[in-house]
Amino acid sequence: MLLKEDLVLRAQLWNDVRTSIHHFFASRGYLNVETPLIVRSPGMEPNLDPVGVEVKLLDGVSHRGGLITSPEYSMKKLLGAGLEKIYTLTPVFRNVENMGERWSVEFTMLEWYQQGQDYEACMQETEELVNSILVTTPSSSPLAGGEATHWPRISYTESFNKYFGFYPHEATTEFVGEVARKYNYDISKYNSVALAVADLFQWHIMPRLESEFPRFFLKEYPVAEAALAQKNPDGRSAQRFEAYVNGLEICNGFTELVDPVEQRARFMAEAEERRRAGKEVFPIDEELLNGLASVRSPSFGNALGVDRLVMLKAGVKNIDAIHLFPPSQRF
Amino acid sequence: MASPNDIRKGTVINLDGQLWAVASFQRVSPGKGSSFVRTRIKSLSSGKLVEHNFKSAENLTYEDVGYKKMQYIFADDNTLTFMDGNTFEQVMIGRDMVGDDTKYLKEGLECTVVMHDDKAIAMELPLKIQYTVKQTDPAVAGNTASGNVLKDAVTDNGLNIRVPIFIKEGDEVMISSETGDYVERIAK
Repeated sequence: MLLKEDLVLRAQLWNDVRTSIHHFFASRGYLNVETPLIVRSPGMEPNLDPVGVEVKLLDGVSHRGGLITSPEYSMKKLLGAGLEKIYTLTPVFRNVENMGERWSVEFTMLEWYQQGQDYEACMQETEELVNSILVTTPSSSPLAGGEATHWPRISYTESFNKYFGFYPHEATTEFVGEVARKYNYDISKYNSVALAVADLFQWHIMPRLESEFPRFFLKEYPVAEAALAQKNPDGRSAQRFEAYVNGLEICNGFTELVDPVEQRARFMAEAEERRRAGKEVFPIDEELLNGLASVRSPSFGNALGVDRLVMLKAGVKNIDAIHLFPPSQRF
Repeated sequence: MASPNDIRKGTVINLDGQLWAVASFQRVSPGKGSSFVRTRIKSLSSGKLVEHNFKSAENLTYEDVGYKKMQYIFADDNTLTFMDGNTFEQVMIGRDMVGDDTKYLKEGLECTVVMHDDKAIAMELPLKIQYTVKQTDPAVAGNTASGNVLKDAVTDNGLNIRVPIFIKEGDEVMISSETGDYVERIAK
């Protein structure tokens, strides 16, 4: 166990951040909701691995379920039932994560949703929330940098075009092949042009953005990387954003896709991808699809990793350094 | 065949017949794109250092390397010297392969030395290293204000760190060698 002073300090840090978050959303008319942790459909994303659980009831019947990877499904059901502005602070669970440094199998997620507003409004709110929490971070902290002012909004698709000379939606095997030859990458390793585009962005543009801007939003993602976001009118990009603070990705938000038909098709594609990858396939959440039809367009949603916010506030880069029970020592 | 996810410091990768030793690496898992490993690798023939990204799904060929627990003894301009505590055998590693990790070294620190073809090519630090705080200012009233929880300190080997305000000179602290962060105070 950590010694008492370390425990008290860390508990205080978390208390401060939680209190700030509750105050921020209460003052803006959001309702704080609690969502279940054990569900039948914990998540369909092919790149996430839910922690599976067995629930036994008194009648002797067992049910297969899992721990949530995000409260998203429950939150969207509440929107469908007519709630307009909601937020939740909840533990979430993800298997097969690197433990330590910035990852843990269990972490705290802040999700908030608002009907009638799009992702631009959400970015504004995110900026104000994070600035209000990090305002007391000591300026000498290696991660504190950045003024509490307007964060630049960087377009993924525009900066990609500026760097490589073509837009992600124009990417063909030839275009990508040319870039790959120039940088000596083996393009044959990719199943899709979209994946190659994502890697080119991560490898060539992301490090430049991270060194230039202490705090910024990356927005206008290629449609292929934002399947659950509403498309922009020009069809080149979709309304997804991420926020980066001192090189740390802290959230992922959308103008939400609220079309139940499109959502079902997407779930089925994801289920198929999971099956092919040999991963457990959880049933499609029908209650969610029923509710989606009643959600207004536009509506925004954002998921923010609170552990990372606490790390930024503490001025540390290691997730172990903010927890009373350091993740890397748990298993 | 092996995965880039198994890369460690000192892993020797055979790329088209050329041998490269990993000097440093960082795993990157973007939210949606495919994850990859960003590395600095050194050619074992020319000594050239280059940056290289490996996709996590890539298949790589690794050369056999050995790992030896050895103590750090001293440094000169270009090399760092380590000693086997049992056999007193000494090996030298180029500073360019150790890079920024050099600042964590202190006399007697047990590290893992990576051997290839009977030559020491790299070293791995323990994940957490214990130091004595040699210099830090006392906590000042008012510094405990919300958020302002760390202050500067210098360890017995001259490493600059940031520690919680309750830490005093002479305290033993554990530091993460991955990020340089303070991890915990150790009871004396």
